[in-house]
Amino acid sequence: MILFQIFFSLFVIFVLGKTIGRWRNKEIGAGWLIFWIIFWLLAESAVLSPRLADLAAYSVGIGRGADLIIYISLAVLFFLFFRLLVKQERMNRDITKLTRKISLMESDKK
Amino acid sequence: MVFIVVPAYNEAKKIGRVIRDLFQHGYENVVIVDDGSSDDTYVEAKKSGASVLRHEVNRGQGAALQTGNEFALARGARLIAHFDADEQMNAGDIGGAIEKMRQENLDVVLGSRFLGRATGIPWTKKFFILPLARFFNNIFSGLKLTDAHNGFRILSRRAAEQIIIAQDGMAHNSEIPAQIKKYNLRYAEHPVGFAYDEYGQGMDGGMKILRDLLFGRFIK
Repeated sequence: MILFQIFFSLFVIFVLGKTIGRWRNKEIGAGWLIFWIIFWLLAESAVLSPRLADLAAYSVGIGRGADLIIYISLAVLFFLFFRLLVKQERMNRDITKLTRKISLMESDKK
Repeated sequence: MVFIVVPAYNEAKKIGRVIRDLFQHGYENVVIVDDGSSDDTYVEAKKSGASVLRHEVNRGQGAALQTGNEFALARGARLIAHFDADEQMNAGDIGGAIEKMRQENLDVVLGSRFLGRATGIPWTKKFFILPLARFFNNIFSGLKLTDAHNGFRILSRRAAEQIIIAQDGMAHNSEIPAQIKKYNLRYAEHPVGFAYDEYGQGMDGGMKILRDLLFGRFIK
């Protein structure tokens, strides 16, 4: 086992532990828990057995396993970035509601 | 009872004249929503005798209009006019728009620079930005209008109760026509004058509006 595989495996254990902890604290739902477990286990298998990633890549018409991982990572990053923007927008609207409430309450006092 | 809602952001130099002009045209209920200005907009508006609301932080023109609408509705407004604080609109147009509303029994009257006497529209805006904005506006809202993102509008009480402006920024100008269509409100356009002394929304602003409209679709 090369050094990178050891570090990556430790990282996956750490992240999975954190994810399960967040699920236990009800910060994320069961759907997200399953998504992240599958995601990190797939990432772990690709790192532990690069040939497996090559086979998976080949089966979907991509030449190298490493390329498949990069494509999937990009798609996941775009998705998470989009979710973050939507969340930020929702928070903005909440701030507006609070600002409006304060403004109308102040006007009632006068 | 007619309420004039004027969102204002850093308009200390102009807001007094805008309020006085509205009073001179016979509108007693002028509501200024100071949208977190860093200058003396609030003080100047107060001095001029209008009702003044203040957003503690800047939330955008759409947010300020919704605050003004809620204030006016709570005080029994029958009609609400949206009017800009930058002296580009003409207070004399409000009366004609209200008259049109009564005669044709409308819920909403939207101002249009292209039916009327708007002067000095920069050519890049007239021939490029506004046609593009109109195109996207028509797609997004489903209403075919001659103008896009013109802030002059009159809402009946019924319309103001139904239309909830959730777009805090300038995208409310597309959101409002979309809600007019959604709630099947009776509307018409009305020619308004517009005196350009600053450029206003450019391409950057347009891109932000598109972005806001896109994300708005994912927020309940």
